[in-house]
Amino acid sequence: MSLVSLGQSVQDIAVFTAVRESRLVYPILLSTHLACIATFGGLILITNLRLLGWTLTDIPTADLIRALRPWKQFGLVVMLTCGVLLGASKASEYLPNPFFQLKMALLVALALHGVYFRRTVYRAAVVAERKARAAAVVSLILWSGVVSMGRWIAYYDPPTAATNLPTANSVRLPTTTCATVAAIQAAALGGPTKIISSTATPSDTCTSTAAIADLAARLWIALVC
Amino acid sequence: MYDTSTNFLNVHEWAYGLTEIVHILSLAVGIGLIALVDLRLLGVAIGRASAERLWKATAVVSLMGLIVAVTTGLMIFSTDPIRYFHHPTMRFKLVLVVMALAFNYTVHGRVVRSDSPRLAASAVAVLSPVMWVTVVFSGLFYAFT
Repeated sequence: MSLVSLGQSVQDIAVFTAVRESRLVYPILLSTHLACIATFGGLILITNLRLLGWTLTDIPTADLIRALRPWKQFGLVVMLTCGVLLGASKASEYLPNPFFQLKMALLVALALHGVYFRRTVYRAAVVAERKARAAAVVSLILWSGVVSMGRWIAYYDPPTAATNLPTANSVRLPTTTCATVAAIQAAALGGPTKIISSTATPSDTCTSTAAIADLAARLWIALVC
Repeated sequence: MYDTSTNFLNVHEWAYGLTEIVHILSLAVGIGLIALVDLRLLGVAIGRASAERLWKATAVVSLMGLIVAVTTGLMIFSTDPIRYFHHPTMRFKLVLVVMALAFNYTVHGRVVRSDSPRLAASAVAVLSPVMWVTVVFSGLFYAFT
């Protein structure tokens, strides 16, 4: 079963169809999702700043984490509820979207980081300083990634031609994406000047992981050239 | 005459999206840290820290977040100023942002510093996040109206 048809059967469930077709519910959910980032994001940020030892050093880290935990949990529940409703209501568009896939992967990584640092940092009576710094760095990177990928989802142009329908492990990406991937390969061989002059072979089919390479390549091109 | 087609954000494919991401991340920094102070004002104990202590500890980072959010916001505005300026939802948002900023650095700052009455502190702690969340809502509803 392809990701598109799987998504189609998810979004055909009555509640998700209702969300998608409502004129008001969709933007309200989206706004609430974003408002959660704006308000509860601060709780995550202050926890990370304390874990790094940059602020409020007179308050024990464990006390701060314990005080904020129920509020973070509340925020997460609201954010996830809105997120699931939004995502599932357009599942056939989102599941094959490489930025959506990346966002989900980052969320899984966030959960794993929570489990990994649970004993030494998040539920520790006395927090180990070095572990705390590591946890904060990982958390900040992953959360910024989640927010960024969330925004990029909207910028993905799905393939239009029906000749090569997407499957689970082969998703067609816009030609520019494949051109950029080809440009990295050219760059690896010939250096930055080659990128601009290289006429990439416009191959139409790319794996979905090419989107990650695409993002890295474009950033790299912007920095180097 | 200002020509939007020469605007950096309209010329470079990824510039607009990246600016939006910075806008969202920075508003989370700015608004989120204000929300933390509001939580304390509402009586949530955070270690032994007073609201004033939290306000001072977060003031610089929060201000930086707000400055970046306003700057990136103006950058996005510059991509199509006439459309944004005449759109009622965007006008509402802009007025509200100015009000929320003024509120934050006058009333909010004063309530945090002094031993203000419990009721006043609570009222401010409710009004402040309501204003900021409305700013976020109006920013998003602009795209849907």
